[in-house]
Parts: sequence; structure tokens; C-alpha cells
Amino acid sequence: MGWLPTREVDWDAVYKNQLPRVYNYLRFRIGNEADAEELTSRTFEKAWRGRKLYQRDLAGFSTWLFTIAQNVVIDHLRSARPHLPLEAAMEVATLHTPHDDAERDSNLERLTALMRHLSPRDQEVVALKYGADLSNREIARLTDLSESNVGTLLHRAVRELRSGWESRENSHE
Amino acid sequence: MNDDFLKSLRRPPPAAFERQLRARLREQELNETSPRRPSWKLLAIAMLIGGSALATATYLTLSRTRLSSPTTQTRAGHTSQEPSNPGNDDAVPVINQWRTDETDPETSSHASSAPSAKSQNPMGTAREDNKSPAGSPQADGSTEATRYVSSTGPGGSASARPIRIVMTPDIERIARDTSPGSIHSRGLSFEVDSADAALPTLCAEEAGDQPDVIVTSRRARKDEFRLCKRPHYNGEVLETTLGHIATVVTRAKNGMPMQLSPRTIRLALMKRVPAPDNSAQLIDNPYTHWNQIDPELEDRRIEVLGPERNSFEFAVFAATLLSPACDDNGSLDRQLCQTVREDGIYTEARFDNNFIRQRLWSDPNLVAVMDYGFYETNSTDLLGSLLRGTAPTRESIMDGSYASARALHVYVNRERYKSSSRVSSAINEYLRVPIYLNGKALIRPDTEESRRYWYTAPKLTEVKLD
Repeated sequence: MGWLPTREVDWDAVYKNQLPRVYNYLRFRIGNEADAEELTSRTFEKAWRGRKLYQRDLAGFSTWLFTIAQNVVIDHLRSARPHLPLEAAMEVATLHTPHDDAERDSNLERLTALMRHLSPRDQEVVALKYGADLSNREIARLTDLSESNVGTLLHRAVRELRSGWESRENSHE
Repeated sequence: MNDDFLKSLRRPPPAAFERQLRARLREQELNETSPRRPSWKLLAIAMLIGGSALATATYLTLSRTRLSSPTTQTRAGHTSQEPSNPGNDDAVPVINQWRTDETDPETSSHASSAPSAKSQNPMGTAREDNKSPAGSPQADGSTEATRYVSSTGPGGSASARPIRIVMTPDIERIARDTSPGSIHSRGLSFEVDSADAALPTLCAEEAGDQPDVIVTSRRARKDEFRLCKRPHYNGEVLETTLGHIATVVTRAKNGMPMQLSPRTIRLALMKRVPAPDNSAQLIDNPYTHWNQIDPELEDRRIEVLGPERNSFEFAVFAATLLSPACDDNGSLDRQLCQTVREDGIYTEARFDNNFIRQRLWSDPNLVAVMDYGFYETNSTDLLGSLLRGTAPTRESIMDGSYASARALHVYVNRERYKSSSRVSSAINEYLRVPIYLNGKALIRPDTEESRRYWYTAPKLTEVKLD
């Protein structure tokens, strides 16, 4: 129960646990490593100031952290848009001839280019699921959707992404 | 592409970045915690002022003791309940103390002058059930006032009075699945009471009787605002809209369109309804077919799928579609307005992934009652609203043109809002954060803004009387 006294929170452990989640959520959302680092820093700096309010409610802290990350993304997209028209973004994604060790990043770029075809809500749900590795229940809390709706949206979004991915691969063959 | 492929795209943050960020956070922490060292000059001045104040206070106390009379002794007996502040002048009203103490205004004065729920619950959280002052059913159906309290203030101060937030019963039912951990770690005390009972106390003469914030599903009336305008008390009330709730009545996409009114839905679903020949007399609901209620409707058995009775979706349904029957007909018992029949006409359903495919598509003539959030997500598979009039959209809900929607209002005493940082943060950092109230049920005034945790629109506005 959140209001019962608990042992001292190990914030180092919380940092280690949450940093990769937030960082990958932002990578999936933005598709750019440098921006993802910058926005991760901004998120943690904001959240760290108020973290002691949550020392008895770590689940609440995690939710709060991601709410801040979501707002940081909104601000970023608002200030940065539009970078490129969608078609140009697709070209950027396909210009890459990745080396083996960079293949993952190239795949991410292709994925984020495809994600721009999805609605903002679907993009958010995909980034929270596969980037931040959150459960459907956690995503439901962050997006004001029901848990079952999150499952449905994810199913549809992955199906669309898969179809886009395969059609691009076929067009290159 | 599958789940494994998508998850394989994750990677750990670069080590250098991780180290730099950790160092930056540590530095930020040090800057926040290390107190600024005062210079010797400032220290000397502070000691001088402090010494003078102490000497003056001692002199005044001694003088007052010498001049004490039986009357003042009696008064002293009363003031023992007030804050033990040696420099406190009796003429200074309590509210001014709140104004001047910006860091934690309630810590001493208010907690001791009011019978604090916290002080009765030293072990922590408790729930209290008290009969409402009137002891009778209230306008929104509540017969009891309920309080949820926490003994921990936002800063962890055990002596701080919790911020009192009063919610009407319908809103409490909607917000019931709010995380208790989050609530209690923020030093908020929740009470459930009717709007009729709560709103007049916003500017109560006794400071201890004032709730800090009231959340209600009806707008305050002018006569309730006027209570804050009594002589020698220039109270103002601030108001904002927290969001909206709405219910949609619909069918599967392959069903037949039908035009219903809110009244038709009530007559079809309420357990007891006015007799056809005598509206003052209530009878068990006799209607089994739609055309018995309205001859223009289809001659088909009434079958309605709706939310489970203890769910927040049902609370939304009750507040938006059923309760207005009581607004129209004052003689109806409020509780009856929120009670649906139990003879098989109304069936409880779980609104999940399978609901539309397995329940609605299998019988396209079933009517379903759902909250707007579920409808909006699945609108492509549904027929649209069966209610006459404007279709449900975010815009029509917000401008009030959609019939089955309600706004939720927040009221706060301006003085309390301005003078106590804890009251303003209770509103801005709790009530306006979608994750703490039931974000699934609430339609926020602005979708994009509502995602922001510092959500500020619309602003609190002062209520103007004509």
C-alpha cells in the first residue's frame, strides 16, 4: 500500500532501470539518436527534481516519468515540425546502406519513417510498447485508453507496419 | 516483422551519455540541497532583529499577565486551541496567517483549530462515514458524506492538515479506480458529499468548515456564490471545467438505425417508471417492446447491453442519461433514477476487445450503452449514435449540444487558492493530471493540452454575478 512506510528507495537502481526505457521510448518516437539523448536528459532533469514525492510510490514515479517524456516529445515535435515531407522522410530511410553494426539503427529509421503513417496515438502506443517495454496496463494508464483497446491498437498498428515494411522490401527486389 | 523484431531494435543508452546524465543529475541534486551559506554581516543583523523581537515579546507577555482579568482568562482558555505563536496578535484573522506563511500555511494554525480527521487517525489513512448534515437524500443521491484521509502531507510533514477535496458521489464513483498510493502520498483528503451540501461551505464563516476544493457535476448556483459576498467578507470563487463525461447509445454497424430520445432510454431501462396514466405514481417498469414507449419505434423486444453496475462506465451512464430524469421531475427519488431494471432487459457487458465482434455483431439489433471513450475508439465498427439530435463528437460534447454529456466543474475559494501553495498544487498537479482522475472517463477540454502533466487550460476564472 502506497502510504505505508517503506525502506529507503534506491534511486540509483531506479535510474538504471528507467533510463533505457525512456531512452528507447524516445528513440522509437523520434527516430534520431542525438535528439533521443537530448530529450532523455530533459525528461530526467525535470523528473529528478520531484522524485522524492514518489518515494513511497515507485509505480507512480514511473508513470509520472513517462508523462513527462510524453510532454517533452510533444514540445519537441511542435517546435521541430515539419522537418521533411513524408516522401522525403521515406527516401532518407531508404538511402542508407547500413553496415552490419549499424543495421539495427537503420531498421529503426525505416520503422520510424513507417510509423509516421500511423496516427499519433498509434505511434505513441507502439513506442511505449516496443521502445519502453511497458505492459498494456501501464500503457493504458498513460494514454487514457482501456487495456483491451491498447491491445487492439497495437495489433492493428503492427499489422500496418508489417504491410508497409513488406511492400517496401518487395519494391526493392 | 513481429514482436521480437521490434524489441530487437532497442539498445542500451551509450555509456558515455549515461555517465554524463548521471553526473548532471547529481550536480542538480547538490545545487538543490546545499543551503546557501549566510554571510557574517547578515547573520549579525538577523541576530539583532531576533533579539529585539524576543525582548518585545517577553515584555508584552509579562504586561498582559499582569493585566489579566477573568474575561481574558476565559478567552485564553479558548485560544489554547489556536496556534501557540508568541508573536501572534489575537486580532489577526486566521486567513491572514495563511497568507503570510507561504511555505506550509496549514501546518500549525488550521490543523489545531479544526477537528482534523488526520489527528483522529494517527496511524495513517482511514475512511470515515458520516451522515450528511441534512441526514436525508441529497440532490445527487447521496445520503452520507464519506471522507478518505491521509496523515502525510506533500512534503512528508505529519502535522500538515490534508487538503480537503470534496467530490459529489457521481464523480467519486467515476474516479474510484484512481491509484490510492498516488492520492495518499500527496496529502489530500477526499470527501464525498452532495453539491447542495458542499457548495455553501466554500465560504463558510468558520475557517475549519471550509473545504479547499469542490468538484461537482453541476454548476454552482448564484445563491451559492452569493454566500461568499456577505458583509465584511469579500470572498471570490474561482471556477474551471475539469472535463466532460458522455454516454453513447449505439448498435453494431450492420444494425438498423433507430431514433431514440434520452426519455425513451430512461423509460426502457429504469427499474421503476411513472405510470402512463399518472406520472406522480411510480410502478415497476412494464415496457418490454420499444413501440410500447413510442409507437414510432420498431416492434421489437427491448434488449440493451450496458456497463456493469459497479463500474465507472455505469457511473457515467447514470450521471449523463439516467439522473437528468430527476432534474426534470423533482418528485422522483434520486436513487431510483440511477437504478436499472433487473428483469433481463438490461444486460451487463464487459467492454473489451470481444464486445463488438462477439456480442454486437452476433445480434445487430441489440442496443448498447457505452462511454464516449470506448465509442470513439471503436466508432468504425459501430452504427453511430441512436440518440436524436447532434452526433457525439468532442466538439459537440464540449459545446453542450450533444444531449447525453455533462461537464465537471471545480470550485475553489480565491483566498485559499492564492494564499496556499498546497491548494493550488492540489488543483494543478493533481486534479488536472489525467492519470490521477479517471482519464478514461474524462474528455478533457483540449486533447493535446490534456496530455501535458502541467495541463493549464482552461484557466480558473472568477465567477461574475449579474
